[in-house]
Amino acid sequence: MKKFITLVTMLLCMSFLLSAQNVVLEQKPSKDTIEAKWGQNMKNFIHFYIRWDFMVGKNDVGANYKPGSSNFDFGMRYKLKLCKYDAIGMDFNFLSTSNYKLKQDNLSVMINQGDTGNFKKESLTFTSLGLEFFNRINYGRRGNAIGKFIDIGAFGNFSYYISHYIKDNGNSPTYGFYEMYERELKYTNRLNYGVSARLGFGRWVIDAHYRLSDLFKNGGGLTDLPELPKLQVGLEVGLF
Amino acid sequence: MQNKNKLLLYFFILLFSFQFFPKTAISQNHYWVFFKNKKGTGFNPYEYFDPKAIERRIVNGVSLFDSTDFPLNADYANTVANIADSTGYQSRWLNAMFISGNDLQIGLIRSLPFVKEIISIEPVIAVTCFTDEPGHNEGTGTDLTSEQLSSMQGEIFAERGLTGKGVRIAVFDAGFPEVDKHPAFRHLWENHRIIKTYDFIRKKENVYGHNFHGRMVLSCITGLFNGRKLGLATDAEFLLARTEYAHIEPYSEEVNWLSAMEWADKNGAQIISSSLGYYFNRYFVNQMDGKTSLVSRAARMAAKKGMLVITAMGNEGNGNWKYLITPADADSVLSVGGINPSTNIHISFSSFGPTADKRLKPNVCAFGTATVASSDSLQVASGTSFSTPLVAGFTACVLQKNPGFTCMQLLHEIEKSGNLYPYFDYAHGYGVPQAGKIVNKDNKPISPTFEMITRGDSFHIMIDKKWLSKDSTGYLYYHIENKKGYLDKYAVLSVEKEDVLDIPLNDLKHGETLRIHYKGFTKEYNLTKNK
Repeated sequence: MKKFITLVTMLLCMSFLLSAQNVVLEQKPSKDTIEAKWGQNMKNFIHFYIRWDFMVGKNDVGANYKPGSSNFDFGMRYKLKLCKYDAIGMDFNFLSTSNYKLKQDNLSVMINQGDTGNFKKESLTFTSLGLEFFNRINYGRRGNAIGKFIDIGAFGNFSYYISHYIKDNGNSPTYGFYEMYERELKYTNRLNYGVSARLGFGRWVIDAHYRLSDLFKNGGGLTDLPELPKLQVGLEVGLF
Repeated sequence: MQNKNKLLLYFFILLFSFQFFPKTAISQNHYWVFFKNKKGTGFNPYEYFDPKAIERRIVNGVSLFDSTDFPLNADYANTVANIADSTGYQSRWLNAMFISGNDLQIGLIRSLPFVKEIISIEPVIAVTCFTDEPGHNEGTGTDLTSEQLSSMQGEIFAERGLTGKGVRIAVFDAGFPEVDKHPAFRHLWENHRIIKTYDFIRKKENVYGHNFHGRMVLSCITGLFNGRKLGLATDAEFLLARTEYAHIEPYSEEVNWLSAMEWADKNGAQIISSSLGYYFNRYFVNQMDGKTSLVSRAARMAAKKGMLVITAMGNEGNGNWKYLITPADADSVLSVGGINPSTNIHISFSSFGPTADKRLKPNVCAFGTATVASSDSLQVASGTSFSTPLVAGFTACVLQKNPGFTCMQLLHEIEKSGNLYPYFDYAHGYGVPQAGKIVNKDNKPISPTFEMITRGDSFHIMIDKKWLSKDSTGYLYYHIENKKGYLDKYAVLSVEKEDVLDIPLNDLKHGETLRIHYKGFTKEYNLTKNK
């Protein structure tokens, strides 16, 4: 029986080898030339992007912020072309980090629910996941390229990690310098939302985000904290 | 708002603006303005054209008083110039002028009764068919150097003294550094065979600088280094035009290309070798129809004037674009694909045909990797940029042998000389041009190298034993052509045994044609008859 199985296997292998056609190039243009559905100016397009925005909006009294307060985003964008001039899309932000560097001037009321400017450095960092929906108006002639566009959208962020950082002035006779990270902040909102606008030239985009929600919780026994700036403007680069 | 943050933001936006706006927002104001007619204009062709251009026109039966050669109506041009911000090149062929202006000015110009059409010129950043690698110096690259010519049977031309003598070739590229002193071009400058040069970007005559690509390309047409030929047309004459920047393509390149085309026409070019093209930033694959792009229209116009434009298929074969780039899509240009010197079949990066309207492209192919002139010696470089000049050199030799050929006769002669002819596909066209087919026109019937047997439910292709391959050139090509005349499928098989191909009968539809090629012998089967 074993011999029979071996023989059959050998014959099968030989017949396969004998009939094998060694194809070094094969093209089926009739199938290839079906209109492509994925591409920069096709029906669907997906790409990654990175974005760096600066906080530039007006803050409340007591929440002055330093230059360098910024937001960094890394995410993926899906665009669905509706017609030559219009598209809709969705951004998924894998990583969105907003860092507010707070000025320690006489008006600062951020820390400890009301203490004023006693520290050398103070910052608040929100690390979030985000979702954004937008409508895109394209203009100008273009081939299969992103081209020039204006986006108007709305976004929502969920902050899964929020921290408050302080570094003191080194005046304490007990501790000298000390740095402190505070997490699980009771006075911040995890969910934020707002509107956005973009002006794009291919992969290069000028971006603006305006937050409509408050960063800090009010009432419930908490001191009302002054709001940090709601507008951020910056540059985005599409990775494609 | 914090002032310092504002300043930081403004700084970045300014930086951004300087970096990108000049290529985008500002250039929205560049246009071609087409006029309806050339009323009241005329010219003296004997003053305007080089004698070689007149000779070419006579051979091609082109009138010396063709209105497309007349200058633009000066009144029209002046009226437009008075409205526009600035004006540039005036194209006689297109009866159009290049202008810059804002929307208001364009509106005014559009309302002029003699203006036919206004087309905006978009700025783009795109890579053409350059090989971006400077390449490594591989000494003389002896085997490849000889094979890139022997693959076209170049030695047959050499034996008969066919070296492109008397043929004038225009080469458009991104610069020709060291061409005026590199030993591979000594025969050109010592014998004054570079007739004219012009840099359309700087508006100067000196083209001997900038990007090395032109030097490499030119060497594949005419290079001669230490007695070894790199290209076949070592005795041809040249017009060298710099039309391209190296790695970006601002709007002006298309204008430069058109300007250079008219300049080449005026100065008597018979062949134009252009290893450049435009694709995704400006166009879609379905616009590669030979009619849409401006350069494609200009290339067709060149053919009407009797110049054969030889252009690269592009290096997009294994990219998302995959297909040919324009102007390789124009019907009257000779589009050249690339083959791999190691395998002698399609090289992976070479763009595929057909055109969007299903015409055959490439027309022919040649080595996609070649020995070219480096800054002081030789190097190896890849791209259909180099297949194109290899064929341009070949074409010059054909034209030397047949000086009475019209542009289209020349094109068809090159196609017929392909090693696969009459077989074709969208990767190789008619194959690599063969000098033997140009020189020896004995029309002897080629003995069959295979036979087809219908066995059961399949077609079997059986190779004749004596033709079984002992080398790497043993490929069997087959395609299935549908009723509409274009290919639904094509393939290349490596032949290692007699029973090389089975095609189930059910795979073939009524009215389709199966065409098979092996070692010079092509046979076709109309499936209606055979079923």
